Amino acid sequence: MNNMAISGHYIIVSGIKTYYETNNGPTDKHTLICTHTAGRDARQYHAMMEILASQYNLIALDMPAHGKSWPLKGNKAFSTRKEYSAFIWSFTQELGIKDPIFVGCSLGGNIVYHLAQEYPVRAIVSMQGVDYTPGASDVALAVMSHPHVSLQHSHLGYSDSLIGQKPDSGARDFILWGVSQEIAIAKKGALSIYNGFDIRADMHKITCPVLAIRGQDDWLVDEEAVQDTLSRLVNAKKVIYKPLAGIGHFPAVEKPQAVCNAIEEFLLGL
Amino acid sequence: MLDKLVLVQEKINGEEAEQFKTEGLGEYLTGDVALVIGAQPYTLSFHKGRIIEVIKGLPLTGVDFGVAGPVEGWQELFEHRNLYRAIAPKHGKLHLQGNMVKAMGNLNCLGYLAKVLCSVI
Repeated sequence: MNNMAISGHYIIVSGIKTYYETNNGPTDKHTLICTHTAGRDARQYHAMMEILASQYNLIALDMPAHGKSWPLKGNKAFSTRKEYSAFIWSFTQELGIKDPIFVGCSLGGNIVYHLAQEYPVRAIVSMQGVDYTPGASDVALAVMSHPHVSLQHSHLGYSDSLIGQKPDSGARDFILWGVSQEIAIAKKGALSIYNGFDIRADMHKITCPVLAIRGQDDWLVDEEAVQDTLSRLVNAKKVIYKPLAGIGHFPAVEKPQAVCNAIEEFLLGL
Repeated sequence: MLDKLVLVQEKINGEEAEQFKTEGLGEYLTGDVALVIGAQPYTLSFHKGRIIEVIKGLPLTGVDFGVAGPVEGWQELFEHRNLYRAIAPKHGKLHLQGNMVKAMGNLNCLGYLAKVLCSVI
């Protein structure tokens, strides 16, 4: 029998039944709170949770309306970054996590910068994250929940184009399966936050250590945008940038071992 | 360009037919799709995933949807071989036009069509 370290749980956060998974790692060291990309769920961190199970406690949540978490009242999803970040912080507080380290990718990678601006976090790990994402696609957003547009079909090629040239075996299938399971209301809400996301003016507020990881094959979050973001981290205690070759927009899924190596190195230096 | 689009027609109806209909989800595509390269439009008429006609220009009945933009934007598409990048506001110079619901509903087909087009350029 091949038992996995991961177990799933529910907790009520701000009145929402919230699903999360943990690798049940040691709690005497750092606890990492992981947030998924727009429209997806905590399973994006399964491989990382397994790899780091003996070293660190990882917790990954499904944001409201995503995965197995309940939606907001009236079957809605968050559509502002303040609500999104506040919920993640409340989740952390409900679990009683002290000095959390936030890990996020894409929208989650943007949000960890916002969390570090607004809350007393220990450190952040931003994958494919930036402080400014102007106009993702107004058209795509406008028709995302139209009854004649099947998000689960229309976004397959798009997501595929974001995957790097050398993903681990099975990664591409899982990423595209993730598209097939997306909920239009959740994805639209998340991309409403991503589209026009701009926290550049407050980047100086970030004082905690930052690890920025970028899959270099990602055309959406390009090198220039990441470098611009890092240049605005003028007060962060430490900023480490780790570019990863052959990886695209989903590093935690595409090459989890490479991401874990970078995170371990970063954590040892805290 | 018309000769290239005829090659696209041959591929979509031939060696790429199965993949276009399954992976590309082209099985459900019926309608007129315009590719507007600079000021010059071309129209590909689809019926259930087969291209039944390719013409230079637009039909008198108009088209359902399409992709348009400057020649430079198309050159970038041919270089990167990625329609999604080519139509992304910050990254590309092309844009979707026409019936946006139908265009977005068939975005996966468009992406596959662009991949085949890039392969003959």
